[in-house]
Amino acid sequence: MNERKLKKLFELARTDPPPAPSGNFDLRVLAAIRREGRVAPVSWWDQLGALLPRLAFAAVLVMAACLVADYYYSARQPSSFAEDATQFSTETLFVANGDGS
Amino acid sequence: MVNDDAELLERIRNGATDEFAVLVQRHQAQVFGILHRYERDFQKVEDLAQETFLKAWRFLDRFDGRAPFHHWLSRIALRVALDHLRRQKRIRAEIALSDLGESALDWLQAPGDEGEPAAAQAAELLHAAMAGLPPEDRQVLTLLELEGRSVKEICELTGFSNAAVRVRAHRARAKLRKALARLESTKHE
Repeated sequence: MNERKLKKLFELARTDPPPAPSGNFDLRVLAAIRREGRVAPVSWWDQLGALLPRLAFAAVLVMAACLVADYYYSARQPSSFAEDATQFSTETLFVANGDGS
Repeated sequence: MVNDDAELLERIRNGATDEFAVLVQRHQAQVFGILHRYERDFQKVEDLAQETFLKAWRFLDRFDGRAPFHHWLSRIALRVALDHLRRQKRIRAEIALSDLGESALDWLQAPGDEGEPAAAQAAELLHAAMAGLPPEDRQVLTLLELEGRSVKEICELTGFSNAAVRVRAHRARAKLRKALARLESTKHE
């Protein structure tokens, strides 16, 4: 296949006219669009729904950050066992005696 | 009738669905012109054109008006054509000689330029020979040689880099030459 013939082939094919659309092509497209249904405008709830996975992910990140921070600060300022025991017993006793004061 | 595409699009976006038909009438020749380079069957071209306009309708909200509407529509048509070529490639990778006119094959076989085929036959011959090319390479070569687009335009339309367009065009030309050579020799068998 020589280059001259290839060029000629392209040249000839370039002049091949495209087929004309049938007379009712625009109506056919319109009918297809109607079948598909008009795309409804996106509502506020839809937008929120679309955002939900991202919001959930962000919430998980915040919770994880809080847990890490809590663990970090708890480790740096350990409370004594006596304080914890006093606090626990006070809360438990008040609840057990029905003393709300 | 609204003359400006932007104004027409605004009306369509505001609910004047029927006016999309005006947009179709305005751009259908351009879309058919692009698609018939990739498909010779009229019915299929019309189906692909419909798919193009349907996609344009679905993604109308994404058209930001920075480029003219026909550029945006061209990109959609090219994407539809590419998807079509990919589907076709799975179905038929071999050149069907029965699809070709005798005179086109005679011309191909002849040492000189005598008996030049008609434009439609030349297009048919090229279409058959290009059937074995990778779809992306074929599209680049079609845009370059049949639509007369510049490399820069092809980059914008396809999203390929300048180097990728040149490489694909070079590779496609080499494969096309081989496919046509095969056709030449097949005629003798």
